[in-house]
Amino acid sequence: MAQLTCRNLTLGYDGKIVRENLNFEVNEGDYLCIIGENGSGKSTLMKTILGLKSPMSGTITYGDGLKEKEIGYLPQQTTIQKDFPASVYEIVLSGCLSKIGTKPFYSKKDKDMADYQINRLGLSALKKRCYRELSGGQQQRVLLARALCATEKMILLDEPVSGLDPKVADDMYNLIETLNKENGTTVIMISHDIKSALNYATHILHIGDDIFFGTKEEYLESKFANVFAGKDGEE
Amino acid sequence: MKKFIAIILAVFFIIPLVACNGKDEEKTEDNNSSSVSDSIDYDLSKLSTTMAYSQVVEMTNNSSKYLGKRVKITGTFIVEETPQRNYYSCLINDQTACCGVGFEFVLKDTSKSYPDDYPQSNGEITVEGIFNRYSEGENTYYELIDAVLL
Amino acid sequence: MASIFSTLSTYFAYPFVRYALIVGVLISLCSSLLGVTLVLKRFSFIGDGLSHVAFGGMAIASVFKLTNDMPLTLIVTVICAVLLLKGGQNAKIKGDAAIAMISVGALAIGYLLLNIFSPSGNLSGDVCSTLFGSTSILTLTRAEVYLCAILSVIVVAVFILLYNRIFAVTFDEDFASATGTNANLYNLIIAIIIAVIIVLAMNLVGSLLISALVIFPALSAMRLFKSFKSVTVCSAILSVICSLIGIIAAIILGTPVGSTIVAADIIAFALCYVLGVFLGGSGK
Repeated sequence: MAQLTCRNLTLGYDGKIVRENLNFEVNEGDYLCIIGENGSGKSTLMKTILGLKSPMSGTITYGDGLKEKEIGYLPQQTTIQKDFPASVYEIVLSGCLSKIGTKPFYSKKDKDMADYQINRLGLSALKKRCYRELSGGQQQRVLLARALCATEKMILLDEPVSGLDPKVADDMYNLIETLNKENGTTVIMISHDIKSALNYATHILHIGDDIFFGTKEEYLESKFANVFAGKDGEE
Repeated sequence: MKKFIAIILAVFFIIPLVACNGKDEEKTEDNNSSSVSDSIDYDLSKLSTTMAYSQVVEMTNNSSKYLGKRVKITGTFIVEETPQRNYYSCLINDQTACCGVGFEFVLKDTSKSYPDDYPQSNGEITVEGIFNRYSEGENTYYELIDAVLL
Repeated sequence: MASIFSTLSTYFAYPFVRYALIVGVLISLCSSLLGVTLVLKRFSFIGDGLSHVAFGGMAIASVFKLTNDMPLTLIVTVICAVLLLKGGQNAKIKGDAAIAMISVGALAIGYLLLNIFSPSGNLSGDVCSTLFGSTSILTLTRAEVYLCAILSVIVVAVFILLYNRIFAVTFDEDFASATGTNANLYNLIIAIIIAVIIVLAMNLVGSLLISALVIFPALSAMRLFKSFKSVTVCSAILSVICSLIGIIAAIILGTPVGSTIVAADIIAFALCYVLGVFLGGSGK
């Protein structure tokens, strides 16, 4: 059973349909890239998968041990967050919130988890630093650490490298790839960066007037690749 | 930690600044009101306007506690003339000058008449008397009886 | 210096001074705790907005000649707080516009009602003392002090117990919702607590100055500290100290209590700003 299955999904808000008839599934360990033009409904899809919005029709099924709220999320940053007075440790620890149930405070286990994710993503030197003093790349890593605290099963990343320098973006991609390959974390990522998407992904979901879902190889052979990948020059 | 101490120290520097001003005001007031002080139970004339205002409200709200006590008060002299009698009051305005509270007073020396023997209307006066309460119709009023103008 | 203390101890003999200090400390503690969240959510002016709503509530209570206006005022204010905050960052009419509409509307209608139905003699005095607080903090009855104490203890307790959730919802509402936290519920709780604090705080500084109690300590703390916890703690300590200094200064100098407290807050902010610039340069 796939971790995430979407059948005949129709997305929209305020009665307006944004995208309809989406069908795809994600299995454990997959690396799915969602690509498409601006306004095609990528962010709406992501919010629907996370349970932040309800689909207008269709079903989303979670399986293979994955529960609906067990998805880690790396959202696009808001201006409020960029200027937020909080230490790296506090932010990463807040990822464990879903695990403490009705108890008011974090347990030692939660704190250890936060430390573990901080070390793993190379943030130990920054642990006590204020979030707003960090660079864009460092901030994204902090948010990734937070997402991993929430769960290591599946993470959703909304344009994780937007606004980052090429070198920093590369580091980020490598980090995500490591999580996917060595940890078995399922990755679903929205990206504008087609080339990188094709580089790292195992599956592609292309949302547009035509919808494509399949493996990367299938995508490259399809008509879409010619239009999209072709624009970037060589494959 | 160092920063913490720094703030606390910095903020505490404000206290002496403020307090020193207060000290000066206290000294001058002390010099003025020497005389009759011994038997006065509540000397509002020595207090700042804020305190005096609040104390008047307190006395109005819990009047039973203060009945029969000797009170001294500084404020504005207000006269209300009606066909039956004149009402003389000493009023304290609050700092925003939008509200005023105070007491009426009835002079001990009944030979004095308005306007000749009384101070200028709306001028500042100091009155000392015994705190009392009376009702007129449905309303309760507070006054200083056996009052003396200082 | 000794005479300062003897003057102060004379003043402390007056019960209303003790009440004022107790209530002042409690209210400034509560408002500064929530202030950090509000400032970060860009709802800084909500103190002002809700206090005008509270004014409207008090006006309605006067019109109906209710002896104790607190319950009605609290209910009206809580409802408006919920309407304003519940939408969170996804509200249809965004923060500042919504606050402006409700705030000005309540103030105008409140004043209109008071004028039309005019239950008390000194209308402008009542309005004025509600807006500026005048000496209301120094004319509290024992019952009001108890009420304030109980509500404050509840607010502080709720804040401490829900601290981690309040942090999560303030920093990133979407993430919190996505990972299973009921963000709407916590927004609601924050809204109710704010409403309660504002109705209480109107006694301390009056409607027009409430925003200062909420904003200044938080902003001052943010100049100096780097973690959310230290910002919150510093904000609380600063707020309490400034209120104490403000009340005592107002009593000694004969100045209006509300404005004096705000003046103390402003001085503290200036000091923190300067300190922040110095310390920030060296200690990274």
